[in-house]
Amino acid sequence: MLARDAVIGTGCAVGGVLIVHRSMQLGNVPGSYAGPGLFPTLIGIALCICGILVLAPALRQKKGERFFSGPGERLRLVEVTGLVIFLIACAPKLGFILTSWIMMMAELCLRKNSLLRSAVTATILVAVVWGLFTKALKVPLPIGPWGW
Amino acid sequence: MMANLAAAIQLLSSPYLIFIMVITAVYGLFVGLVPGLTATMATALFVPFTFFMDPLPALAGVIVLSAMAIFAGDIPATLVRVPGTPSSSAYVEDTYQLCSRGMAVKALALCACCSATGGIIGALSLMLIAPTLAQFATRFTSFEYFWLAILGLSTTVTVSKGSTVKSCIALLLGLFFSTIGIDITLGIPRFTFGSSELLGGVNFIPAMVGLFGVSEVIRTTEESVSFTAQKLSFGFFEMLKSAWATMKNRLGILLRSTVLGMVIGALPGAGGDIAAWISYGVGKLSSKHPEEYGKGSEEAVLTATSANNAALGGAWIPALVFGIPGDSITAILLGILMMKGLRPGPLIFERQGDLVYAIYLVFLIANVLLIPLGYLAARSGMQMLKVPKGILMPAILLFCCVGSYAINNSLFDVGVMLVMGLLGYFFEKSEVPVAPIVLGLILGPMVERNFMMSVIKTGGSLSQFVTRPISAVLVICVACAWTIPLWSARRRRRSVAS
Repeated sequence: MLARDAVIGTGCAVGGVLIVHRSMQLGNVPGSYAGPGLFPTLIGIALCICGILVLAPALRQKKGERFFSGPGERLRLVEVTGLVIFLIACAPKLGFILTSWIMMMAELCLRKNSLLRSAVTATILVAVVWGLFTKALKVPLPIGPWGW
Repeated sequence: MMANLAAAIQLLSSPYLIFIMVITAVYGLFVGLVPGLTATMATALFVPFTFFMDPLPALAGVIVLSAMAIFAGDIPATLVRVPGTPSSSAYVEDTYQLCSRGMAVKALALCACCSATGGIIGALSLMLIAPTLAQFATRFTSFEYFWLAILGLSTTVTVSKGSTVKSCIALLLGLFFSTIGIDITLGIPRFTFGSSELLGGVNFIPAMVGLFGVSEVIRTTEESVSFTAQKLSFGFFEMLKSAWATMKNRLGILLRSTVLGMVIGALPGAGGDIAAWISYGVGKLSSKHPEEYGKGSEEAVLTATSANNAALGGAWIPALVFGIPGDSITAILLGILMMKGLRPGPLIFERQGDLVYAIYLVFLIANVLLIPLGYLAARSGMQMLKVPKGILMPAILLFCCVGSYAINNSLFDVGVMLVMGLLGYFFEKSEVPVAPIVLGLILGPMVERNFMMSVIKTGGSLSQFVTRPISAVLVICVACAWTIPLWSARRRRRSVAS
């Protein structure tokens, strides 16, 4: 079985059914078969069919596979996800500068840069981004309780 | 015409106007280079400055910055596989593959020269056939727009590399994401699960940044980097020569893509993104080497990049002739025109003929400027490849996060970017193409809105979808978009077997 295709096929088939189920509850324009649910229903049905079309051959195949090309890639997946979640969660509380600096430091250190190089690079990167976005483009990046 | 042209040339000779064009060109190049920032956003940010300008410098600024931003979007797409603007997502795989093979100069040269050529031909055509083309565009109703969007969706499925079923899955997911938010028919929330942020729907810019940018950051580990050595510095004439080597044998294709881009651009609501995709699809269908599309095909880059810049000029046609915006940039421009007391419409050609011709000439100048300025931007952009991946990838991640945030000043969009990044990563590992998701998100509302409008207009009858003449032609095009690739694939299989 090709695990990836099986996951995609199952996910699409189940997701399609759920979309159809939810869309059915949206109702129609009075006196018409069309309504807010029509388009998602069609998408759900098509998704379900495509899911089955991917799942069926995947179940028949007997091929082993490796999802990650190496340990570095697995670590990268966890690290990028964690760092972006950290930015989303902490930027409103700590402000963009501090949060993104911590995020960059962590990411640079995890990418095997020395501590000094990471600190200097993170500081320059955050300063450049802050300057470009807040000063040049007037984008109000989140500020912390200390006003920056 | 000649009197208007002479007056227009006089208007353009102002040093102040030239200064504005240079400044906005640099600004447009910067915006296009940053993932997440679009030409539309750059235009919107430029609007407050136009309050203090005369009409022509204001309009010239917008034209120049949008042309530059759309080209500059190709630079990060080529070098790090993060499209700077949605128009670049059609051919990102080809430019990136060329870069991976050590042909970054070739890819960037093609992007700059084909964008400029497409833009110049588009501007010349704008001068000659604007009213006629605008008249044709008015014959498009919701039925035709529905089929046009379907044609765009069909081409993305058929031109994507790998399994057609998997491409369909990606497209359907994109279409599903486009249904999230307030429904356009009854105004009720769909698939929002009580979240107020989802009421506005899923923005395609953070989605695009996530699908291409974040997934690339995850995938690129130090040990996986395998770029062929690049030539990082190159001369201006070397760039022109490199592009000409590809263009000289494909002038017919270039012309076809430009005309296609211009016609699609002239249709209100259809912009450079759709033009690039449809042109890419048509290019693949008619190519002698369709198997190379998506794997670093020079022809693919040429066909799509010329169409998206030609569409920029085309979008001005309905805007000037009828006051109907061709895309989001011209919508902002119409606001500027009205703010300056100018009324777009057929009378603008009679009352302000010199201004209209000056706009045409600005288009030409912007596209001519694109080659030297594009060269400088490409040369500076190439320095990105000198930066070790251990520093470049965190920097890209930071730009992706801030670029996504800047669209609506919302951290929710950063979340959307992350989710799409993980989805993109998983899909790429499973050989599911991710570009159809972006096009599904862009075209989903257009498909649904026009379908619902048509169905409500006709009381539920579907016959007009196929009986109107332009609709019927588009239906045939859609049928061809699905059958020709399948037929040629079958023919190839047979010839291999025999």
